Amino acid sequence: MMFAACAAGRANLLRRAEQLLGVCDERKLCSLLVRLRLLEYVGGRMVATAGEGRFPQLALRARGATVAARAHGEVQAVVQYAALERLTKAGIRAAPLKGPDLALRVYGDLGLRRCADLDIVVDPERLDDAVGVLQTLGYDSGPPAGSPWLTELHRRLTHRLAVMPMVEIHWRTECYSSEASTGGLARAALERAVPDVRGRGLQFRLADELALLLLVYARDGMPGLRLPVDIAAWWDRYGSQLPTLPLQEIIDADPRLAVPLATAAALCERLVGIPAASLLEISPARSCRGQLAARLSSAFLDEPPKHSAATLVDGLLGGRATVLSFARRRLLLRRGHIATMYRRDDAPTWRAPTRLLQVQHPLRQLIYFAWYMGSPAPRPPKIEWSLG
Amino acid sequence: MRSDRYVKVGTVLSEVFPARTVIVDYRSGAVAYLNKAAGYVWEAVQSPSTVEDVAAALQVQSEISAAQATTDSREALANLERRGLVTRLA
Repeated sequence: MMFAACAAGRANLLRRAEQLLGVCDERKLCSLLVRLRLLEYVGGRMVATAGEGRFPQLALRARGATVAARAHGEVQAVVQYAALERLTKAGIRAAPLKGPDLALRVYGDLGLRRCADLDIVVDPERLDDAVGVLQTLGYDSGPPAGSPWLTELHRRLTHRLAVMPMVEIHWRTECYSSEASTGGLARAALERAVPDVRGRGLQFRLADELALLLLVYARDGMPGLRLPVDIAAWWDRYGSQLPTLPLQEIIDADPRLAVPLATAAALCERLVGIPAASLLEISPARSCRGQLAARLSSAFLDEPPKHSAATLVDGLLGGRATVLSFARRRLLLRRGHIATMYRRDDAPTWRAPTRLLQVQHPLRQLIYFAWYMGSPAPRPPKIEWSLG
Repeated sequence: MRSDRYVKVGTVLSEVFPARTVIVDYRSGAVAYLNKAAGYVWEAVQSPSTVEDVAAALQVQSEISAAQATTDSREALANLERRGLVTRLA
C-alpha cells in the first residue's frame, strides 16, 4: 500500500517502506501484485526502491509485464483514438473513461497500466448510432454478456480478431444518480466536457473525471487497489489544478451521490492517501451504510472473491432511493443474465435449470447478505499517511 | 518510366507514440511497430507517394544520404506491403 499511494503519502513513509521491503517474501509479493493487477506499476516502484538485487524475480517479471502491457496498450490506444475520431466525425459526443487514455495522461507510459478493454461514454440518445460507428471498425454488438449489473450500463462490443480490444460503450457509469435512467452523472459530465484538441472526442472536466472514477470504484463494490492506485496517480497529476472541494458542487447538484462519493473518497484516503476532506464534505462516509460498505470492501481481493459482498456494497451505497433498481440489477435477474452468470468458471459446478436458478439466485444473495451483516467484518487496512 | 505509388490501405489505423509508431489493420489483425525512420515512411504514405517522394521525406527527417534514404525507403515499403499495410497503385 505504501508503494501504491499518492506521492505525498509515499514520501512520508519512504523510510518505513524501505524497512518493510527488507523483510518481504518475494514470491508472495509477486503473487499479490499479480492478483491485484499492479505488477507493472507498484512492482516496478518496489524494485526501483529496493534494487534489482533484492528482488531479482520481481524485477524480471515486472519488466516483462511492462513491455507486454506497453505493446498491448499501444494497440488499445490506436483503436480508442480511431473510435473517438469516428464518433466525433459522426457528431456523437463521446469521451474516454479510464483505459489507455488515462494510462497515457496520468502514468505517462502505457506499460504501467494494463487495460482489459476500452470504455467510452456517449450520449444516451446516440447509443445505437455509436454502436453503428464502431461496427465500421469491424466490431460486433452481440447479445449482452458479462455481469448483469454492468450490462445495464453499457453495450459491450467484441471483434472477431483477438488483437482488437473489447469496447464498452457506456450511456451511464453508475445507478446512484437521481437521473440514472437518463445517463446520470456521465451524461451531465459529457455536457460539460471540452473538445479534445485533436478531434478525438471530448475530455471530461477534472472534477467530473475524478467523480466518475470514484463512482466506478463504488459501483464495483470497492474491490482491490487498482482503481485507488489510478485515483492516487490521477491526484498526483491533477490534484494541484483542482479548486477547493471540487466534488461538492456535483453532490450539491445531486445529493444522492453524497454517500457513494464520500465513501469511495474516504476509502481511497485510507488506502492510498489522497486527501478526501479536500475533495468533498466527508461526513456522509460516516453514515451507517457508508461505514458498512467500507468494511465490506476487499482491498487485497481475498480469495475466494467476495462477489456477494461487492453486491451488498453496491446496494448500501445506493440507499433506499435505488432499491428497485438494485433489486433488478443484482437480484431479480433475467434468464439471459442468469444463464451467462452461472456458466462462468467461478460458478458452482451444479447445473440447475435456468428458471430454478432465477429463484435460487436472490435467495442465495439474501443468505450471503445475512451472513456478512452478522459476521464481524474486518476494517479495511489503514496507514497513517501524515498528510497534515 | 514512372515509379509506382504507394499508399496505406484503408482498413489501417495508426498512432505515433514517443518511441514508435503503431499500426493496426482491423480487417486482417496485422500489427506493426515501427521505429522512428519507418515512422517517417509511414507518414509519407498517408497519401499516394512514390519511392522517391518517400525517400525525400525520410532524408529530410533523418538527415541521411539520398542513396541511403532510397534503400531504406524501398526496404520499409516492401516490408509494409508484404504485411498488407500499404498497397501499390498502378
